[in-house]
Amino acid sequence: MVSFWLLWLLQLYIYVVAVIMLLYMVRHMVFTSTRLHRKQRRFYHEILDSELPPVTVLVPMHNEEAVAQDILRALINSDYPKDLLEVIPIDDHSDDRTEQILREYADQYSYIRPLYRRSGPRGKPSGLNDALEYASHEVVIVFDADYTPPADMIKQLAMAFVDPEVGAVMGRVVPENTKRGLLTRLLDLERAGGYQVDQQARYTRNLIPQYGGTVGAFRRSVVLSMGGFNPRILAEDTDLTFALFTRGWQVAYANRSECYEESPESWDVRFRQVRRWARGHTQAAFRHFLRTLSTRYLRFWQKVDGAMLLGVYAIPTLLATAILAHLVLFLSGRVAPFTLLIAALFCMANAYGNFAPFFEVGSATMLDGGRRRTWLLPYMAYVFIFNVWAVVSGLKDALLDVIREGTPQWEKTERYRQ
Amino acid sequence: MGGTHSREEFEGERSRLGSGTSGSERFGSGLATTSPLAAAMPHRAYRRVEPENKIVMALTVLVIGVIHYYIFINFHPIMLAMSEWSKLVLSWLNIGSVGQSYGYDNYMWVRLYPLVYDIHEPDTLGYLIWAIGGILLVVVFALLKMIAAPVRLTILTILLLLTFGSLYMLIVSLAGGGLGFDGFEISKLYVRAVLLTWAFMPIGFALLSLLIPFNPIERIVLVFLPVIYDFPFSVVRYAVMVWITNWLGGVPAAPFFLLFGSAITFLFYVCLFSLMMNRVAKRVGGGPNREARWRW
Repeated sequence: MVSFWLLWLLQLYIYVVAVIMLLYMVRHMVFTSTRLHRKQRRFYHEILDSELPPVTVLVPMHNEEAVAQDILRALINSDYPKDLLEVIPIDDHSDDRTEQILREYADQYSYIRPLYRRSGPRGKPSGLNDALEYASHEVVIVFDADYTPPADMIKQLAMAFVDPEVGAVMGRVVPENTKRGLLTRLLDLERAGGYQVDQQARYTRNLIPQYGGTVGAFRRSVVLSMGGFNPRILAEDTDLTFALFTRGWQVAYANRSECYEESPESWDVRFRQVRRWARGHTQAAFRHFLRTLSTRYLRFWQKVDGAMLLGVYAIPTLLATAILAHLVLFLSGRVAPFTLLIAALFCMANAYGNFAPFFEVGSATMLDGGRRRTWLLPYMAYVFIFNVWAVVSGLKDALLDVIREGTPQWEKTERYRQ
Repeated sequence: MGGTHSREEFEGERSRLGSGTSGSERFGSGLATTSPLAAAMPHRAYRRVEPENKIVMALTVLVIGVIHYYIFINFHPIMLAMSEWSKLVLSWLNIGSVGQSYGYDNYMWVRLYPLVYDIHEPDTLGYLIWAIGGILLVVVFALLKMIAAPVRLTILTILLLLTFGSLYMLIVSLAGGGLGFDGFEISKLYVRAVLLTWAFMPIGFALLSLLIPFNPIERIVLVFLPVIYDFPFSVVRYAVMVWITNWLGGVPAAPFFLLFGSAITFLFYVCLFSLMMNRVAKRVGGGPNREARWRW
């Protein structure tokens, strides 16, 4: 009797997971159709000649001697008027040559004002909180240290704040070291699908474009009024996105504002990165899920999109547990052929791509003007199980964070630039 | 290795189109959407393609529907052929001693011909050996860091499924139970799964293909070529599964069924999709008239 109900519950579980997968697949198809065929909502490029606001640029750094000079040079070469610009590199407990490099640049350029953090917890949220107190201007732009922003990037991002409803803005991330190997080429595809289709479609449909924590900007007073960034949450970007939307602010997405990043070149580094993202995103989901569904500031479809965005890192875990349930049903002779079809839907929705399925990535590639890149689409299956392991590990970390008190240790992504 | 998508390519396009690449940046504020200068090639961040002509779309769907209906009503001889050829492959593999014959199964208005054969079922000690062996291999592969992580984790996943299945069957065996299926049941499951894959996957891909600016021929090829490929592949896959269950039992058959079932068919669809996308990208994004094909 017990085994009958247990097997019945497992079958029910598989069907529930299948319905969730199907909903995500429909969501991706709507995004792809929106991006390919619908007139796109454009960013604020039309008003580039408006009066420019004073801007503070924050660059969190921990042992970034390999890349520090590149981003500082890129910011110096920016076309933003230097009397309206303040650059604060945040030296966060570095023990390499980062401090020396920052001092050299600060001596030469008066608008570069490094912040040296030698006490307090290490990590991006804590560093940003200290820098927000130190910053002089209302509009704050954040770049990761491995990014090299083009000359017009600051101007483009700052323009969004002419709109009084905009609380944060996000630009498009484009990997720069694409040709280094299979991993970097696949990450390039993932990035293309995620930004060119996913983010832009959400912006066009007025849903929940996500502030991504880098190549982005926000209003300093708004973040400070919310108590700053929570150092216990590793995905401060997702946290800020939902904190803003549930308080009536908008997040703008600038698909035209392309900034170059260095992708992980080794599988171990990528594993740790995805694991950290999954952990932080899940922490943010615990914090914002109910508030997103109940807030009066979001429309119905914004709530649906927000809930699905918060739940996206739960998908690989659901998938892994559904496979185990399927195994038990198979050995018990209770697997129905229809569940196999559902398993195929799992694949279609998620397996061939990380969080952007193959058709979304293919569409992004076409829109970008690339051709031969599409040949790599089948290889996305190669990283599917890898991603499942990384995300499940991150989810486990997030659940342990709920049990354990204390601030998680921030893990920096390794750099490869010579 | 295939194509690349690098900073150089991005900046190459940027320089071809001038320093500003949106219409407003090239021609002044407000002009991009209100003047004939809107004909300037849209920046990739905002360009789109025209949706397919509705009549062409309707005709394509009709043709796909008719072809699929024709295939569906002919599933009966196709399924018979699959079973017949699988028997042939099994005889080549020299396991004729299995003594296969046909059973009959009516499913979704189609008569199927699952093979009937003896399945190997280990005793309690056999499951214990499987479980211990599985755990040892999991430990070994967890430590073999020199293997690329995606490969290692895929192998680990298969080994964990084997171990988990063995432990489950060990518990069932200790409780006096056994495998929940015999050779006929697992055959039936297999041929039903194949039928469903061939019946539904083309419909899913036909819907998907309507999103992308494929031409009608490309759509028809994308939808039906994988079914043609999947027929001989299913014969081999079926024979291998019969061989595994006959020789090793149900535990290794489970991950085989999960990982090498419809997922492999789906992979072929994705391969074909990627080739078709390459053609579409060439047609839409290349050539002298590419400006005319993009819309703001």
